[in-house]
Amino acid sequence: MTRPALARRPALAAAACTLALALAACGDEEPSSERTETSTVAAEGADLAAIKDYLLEHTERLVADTGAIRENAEAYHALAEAAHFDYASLLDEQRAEVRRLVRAAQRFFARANPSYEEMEGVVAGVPSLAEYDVIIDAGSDASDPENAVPFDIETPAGRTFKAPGNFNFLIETAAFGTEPRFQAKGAEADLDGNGEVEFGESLPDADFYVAAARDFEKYAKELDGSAREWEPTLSDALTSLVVMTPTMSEYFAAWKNSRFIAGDKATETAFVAASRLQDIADILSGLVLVYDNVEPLVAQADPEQAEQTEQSLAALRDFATDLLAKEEAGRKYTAEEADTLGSQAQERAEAIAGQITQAAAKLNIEIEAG
Amino acid sequence: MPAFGSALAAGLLAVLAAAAPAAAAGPPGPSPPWQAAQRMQDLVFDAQSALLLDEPRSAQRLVDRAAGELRGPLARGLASDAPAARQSAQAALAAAAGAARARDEIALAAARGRLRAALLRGSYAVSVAAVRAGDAERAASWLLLREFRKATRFTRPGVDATLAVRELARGRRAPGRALVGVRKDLLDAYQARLGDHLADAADAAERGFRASWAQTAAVAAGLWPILAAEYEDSRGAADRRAADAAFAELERSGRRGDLQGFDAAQEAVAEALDGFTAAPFTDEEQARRAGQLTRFLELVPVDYDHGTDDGKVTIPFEIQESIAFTEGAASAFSDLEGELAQRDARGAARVGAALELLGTYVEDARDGKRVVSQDTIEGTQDDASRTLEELIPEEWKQDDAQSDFDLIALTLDRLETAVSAGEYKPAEQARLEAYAFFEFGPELSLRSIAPDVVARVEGFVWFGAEGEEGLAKLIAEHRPRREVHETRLALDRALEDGAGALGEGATAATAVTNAAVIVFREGLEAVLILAAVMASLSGTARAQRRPMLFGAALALAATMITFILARTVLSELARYGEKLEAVVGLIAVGILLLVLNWFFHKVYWTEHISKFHKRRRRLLGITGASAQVAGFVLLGFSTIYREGFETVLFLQALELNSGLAVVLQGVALGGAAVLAVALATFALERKLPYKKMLIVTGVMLTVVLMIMMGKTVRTMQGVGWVPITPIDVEVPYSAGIWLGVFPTVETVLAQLGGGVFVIGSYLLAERLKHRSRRKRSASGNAPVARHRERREHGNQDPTPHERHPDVGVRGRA
Repeated sequence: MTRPALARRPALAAAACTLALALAACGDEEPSSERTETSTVAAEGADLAAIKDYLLEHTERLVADTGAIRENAEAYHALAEAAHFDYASLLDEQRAEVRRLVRAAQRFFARANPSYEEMEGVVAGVPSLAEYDVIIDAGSDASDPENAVPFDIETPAGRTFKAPGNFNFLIETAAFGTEPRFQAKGAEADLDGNGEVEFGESLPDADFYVAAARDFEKYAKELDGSAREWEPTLSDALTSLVVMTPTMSEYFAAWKNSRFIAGDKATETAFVAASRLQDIADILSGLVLVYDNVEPLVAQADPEQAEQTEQSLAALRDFATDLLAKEEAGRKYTAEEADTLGSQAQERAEAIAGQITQAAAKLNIEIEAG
Repeated sequence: MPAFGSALAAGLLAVLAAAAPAAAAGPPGPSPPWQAAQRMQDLVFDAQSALLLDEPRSAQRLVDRAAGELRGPLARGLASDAPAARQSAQAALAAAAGAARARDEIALAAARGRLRAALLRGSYAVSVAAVRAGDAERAASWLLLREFRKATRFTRPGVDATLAVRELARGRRAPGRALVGVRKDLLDAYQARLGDHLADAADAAERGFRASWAQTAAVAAGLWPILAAEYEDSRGAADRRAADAAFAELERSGRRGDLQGFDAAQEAVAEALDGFTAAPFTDEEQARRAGQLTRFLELVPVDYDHGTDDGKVTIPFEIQESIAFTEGAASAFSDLEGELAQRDARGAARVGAALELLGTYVEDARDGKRVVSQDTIEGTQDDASRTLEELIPEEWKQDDAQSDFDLIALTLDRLETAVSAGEYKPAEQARLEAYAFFEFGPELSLRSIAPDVVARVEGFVWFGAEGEEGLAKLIAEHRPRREVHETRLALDRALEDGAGALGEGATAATAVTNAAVIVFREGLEAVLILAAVMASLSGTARAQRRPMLFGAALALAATMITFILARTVLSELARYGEKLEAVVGLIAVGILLLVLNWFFHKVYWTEHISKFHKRRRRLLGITGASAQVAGFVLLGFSTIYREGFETVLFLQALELNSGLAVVLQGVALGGAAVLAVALATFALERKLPYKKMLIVTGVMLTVVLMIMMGKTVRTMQGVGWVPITPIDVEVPYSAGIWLGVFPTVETVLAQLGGGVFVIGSYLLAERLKHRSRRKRSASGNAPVARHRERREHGNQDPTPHERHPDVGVRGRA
C-alpha cells in the first residue's frame, strides 16, 4: 500500500501540522488596523488650537479658583474643629471670623463659576470631557439616578453623601445656605448678629463643606489634565455647538425659577451667587469662539450657511448679554417674561443646532451622539 | 392684563435692537430668502414689544418695515411656487398691522405665529418644487429657511434633505430620488416641531400666558398644512377635513383665550394625529421598526423576571431595563400603528392597550407602587406578541439584524447610564447582554461577511482593540464614564460598519473563503483531539476507538440535523447558544482531562496495564465496561458537536446571506483542509516510534486542552458564570479566537491549570514507573528492566511488536 508523501516523512508531517496551526493563527480575522474614519476633510481653515488654548486658559483658572475655595474651606473647618463643631459656641466666640470666611466662600464661588461656565460649551460638548460637566455643573443628585453625578462625598468625620449633586451646586448652596442638608446643625446662621437670618447668611456644615471643596479641586485638576491630553477635532468642535446650543430653554427655565425672578418663592436653590443669565451669556461666548474658529471651514462647504450661522449665533449671544446687562442695571423680569424670552432664545438656538448639523453633514464630519 | 407688562417691552426692545442690528438696518442688496424671513420675524417681535411699551406708532412702523421685507427673492419664490403661503404671510402681516393699530398684543402675537408658519410652509413648497425641477442651488438656498427636529442628548437633527440636495447638485441623484430624501426629512422635522408647538401651547394655556398661548397655537395650526396632504393620503378626505377643523379651532381658541374650546380642540387634534406618521417610511424602516417592536417586547418580561422576586423588586437596574424595552417597543409601535390599524384596527388597538398596560406595570414596580406577578407580565406580553405575529406582514419580518443593532445600542445606553451612576455590576450585566445580542445576532452573518468587524466589536466589548481599552476591562476596573464612553464611541463605529457590511452582503468568493476558514478553524481542534486520542488507543485499548468513532459519527449526524433544523429553530438555539456552548465545552474539557490523565499513565506504565485499568476506573469513577464505552462515546460526541454546533450557526447565517451552494463550497474547502491535517497527523503517528508518537500526540492534546480551557472559561465569562479579572496585557484578537488566549486571570489560570494537571499527571506516572522499576529490581528483573529502558530511550530500534507493547501486555494481562 502506498502511503501519502506526508506519511512517508514524519518530520514533514509534523511541520505541516505546526504550519497549519500557525497559518490558522494568522487567519483573516485579524482585526484591521485601519479604522473607518468618518471625517475625510482636513481641518484646513479651522483653528482648533485656539479652542484648546481657550479651554486650557479656563481650566487653569478653575484650578486656581477651586484651590482658593478649598483653602478657605480648610480654614473654616479648622475653626469649627477647634470649637469641636459646636456651631453655637463657634458663633458666640468667632462670629466675625466665621462671617469673613463665609463671605470669602461666596466670593470665591462667584469667581469660580464663570471660570467654568465660559468653557462649559466645550467641556460638555466634547465626548472625552463631557463627564466633567456632569461632575462640575450638570449632574443631579441620587434622586435622579439616570442623571446623577458619578461620585460620593466622604467627609473627614467618615460620613458619606451618596451622589449628592454637582460641585457648583454643592459649593454654592453650602456657601449661600440655600440647601439645608449642607448646613450646620444646632445654630442659626445669624452671621451679623442682628437676630435675623437673612439671605446670604450661611453656616455651612464644615465637615461636608471641606470634603466637597477638596473633591472639587481634585476634579478641577483632573479636568485640567484631561484637557491637556485632549486633541481637538472638527467633530469635537461641531458636536459641542450642537450639544450645547439647544439647551437654552433649560437655562432660561432655571433662571425663571431662581431668586433673580421668583425672589423668596424660588424653587431653585442654586444660581443665587450670579444670575443664570450670566451663565447663559458665558456659555454662548464660549460657543461663539468655537464657531468663529471653525467658520472658515464651514464657509468652504456653504458660504451662505456659514454666514447664517455666524449671524444667528452672535445674535443669540447678544440677546443674552443685553438681557443680563438690563438685569444688572436693576431690571426685574417676571416669570412670563422669562418664559417668552426663553422661548425666543430656544427657537433661535434650535435653528443654530440644525444649521451646524447640516454643515457637518456637508463636510462629512461626524456629530457624536450623547 | 395677564400678558406682558410694559416694563418687559422696554427691555425687549432694547435687547432686540442690540441683538439684531442687521435686522434694523437691512443690507443694501437683495437678501436671500432666509435672511429676509428672519428680519421680518424679528421686526414683528420688536413690534410686539413696542406695543407693550404703549408705543403703537412704533409698533405700526415696525410692522410696515416687516411687510417691506416681503420682496426680492423671498417674495418671488413664494409667488411662483407657494402662492397660498405668500397670501397667508401677507394676511398675517396685515393682521399684525391691524393688531398694532388696535393695540391688541395678543392678536399681534397670534399674527407673528401665523407669519412664521406661513414662511415655513412657503419654504417647504419652494424647496420641494426646486428639487422636483432639479434646481439644487435654489433648493439649497431655500432649505436654509426651515425648522429642525430638536437635538437631544441622543438624537441629532436630520440631514437627509441637505445631503439629498447636495447629491442632486453633484448629479449623483435624480430629482425623484432626491425629492424622497427632502420630503422625508422635512416632514419628519415638521411633525416633531408640530408636537413641540402643541405642547408649548398647552403649557402656556395652563399658565395663562395669553400671548405665548396665541402665538404657539397659531404656529401649530399654521404648520399643519405641510403634513395635511400626507394625512389625507393615509386617512382619507373626511378625516382630513375633521383635522383641519380641529386645528382651526385650536388657533381660534388660543387667540381668544378660550380654555374650554382649546382643550376640546387639543383633544381632537391629538386624536387625529394618533398613530399618524407624515414622513414616508421606507420598507426597510418599517421592517426595522417591526423588528424593534417584537424584540423589545419579548425582552420586557425577561428583565422584569431578573429584577423581581416574590412580589419585590430585587434589582432596580433590571426594572429600568424593562422600562427601556417597554418604551422602545411603544415608540416603534407608534410609528407602525397607523399602518397596522389599516390592516386590523382591533388588533392594533389590542397591542396598544397591552403595551400601555406593560408600561404601567413596569413603572409601578420602579416607583414602588406595586409589583405584579411575572405571570401577569408574561401574559400581557404574550398577548401583544401573538397579536403582532398575526398583524405584522411577512415583508417586515426580515430585518432581524438591524433590530439586533438597535437592541445593542439600547443596551449600551443602559451600560453607560449604570457606569455614570457608579453601578458597575449592572453595567457588566448590560455589557454581557449587549454582547449576547451581538454574538447570536449579527455576528453570525458578519463572521462570514466581514470578520474584521467582528474582531473589532469583540475587542471593544471585551479587552480592547485599536488602542482603545475594552468595556470588560474598563468595567471590571471601575473606570469613569468618559473612558467607557470613548470605547463606546469606537464600538458604535464598528457596529455601524457591521450594519453597513450586512447591508452590502459579501461576494461569493469572500463568502466561500470565510466559510472554509470557519470550518477549518472549528474542525481543527476536533480533529487533533480525535487523532491524538485514537492513535494512543492501541493494543487492548484499540477497542475503545470504536465507541469514540461512534460518538464522533453521532455528533456529525447531530450537526447535520442541527443544520437542517436550523432554519426553523435557529433563533431558539441562538438564544441559549452561548450557554449550550459553555456546557458542551465543559463536558469536553472534563472528559479530555480524564483521558489525558489516563494517557500519561498509559505512556509511562504500559507493563502494568491491568493495574492501570483498575486505577483508571478509579480515577474515572466508573466501574463497568459499559460506562467506559459511554465515556468514549461522549468524548467523541462532545468533541465534534461542540465545534459542529458553532459551525452550524455560522454557516446557517452564511447560507441566508449567500445561499446553500456557496456554503457547500466553503464547507468542502474547509473540510478538505481539515482532512489534510487529519491525514498528516495520522501519518505522523504511524511513522513515529510508538513512544515518540505518544509524546507528540500527548503534547498536541495538551495544547488543544489548554485552548479549550481558555475558550470554555471565556464562554462562561460571556454568560456570567465566571468573573472577569482583566490582565493589563494586549493580546491580539487572533490569539483568542485560535489559541483561546484572553487577557483575564480566569482564562489564563484555567489554561495553566490544564497544563499543571497534565504535568502533574505526567509526574505521577513517572513516580509510579520508578516505583514499579524498584519493585522489579527487587524481584530480580533488573536486566529486563534495563533492556526495556534502553529501548524506551531509543538506543535500540523497537521491533514492530514492541512498537505496540499493549499487544504483549495483553498476553500477560
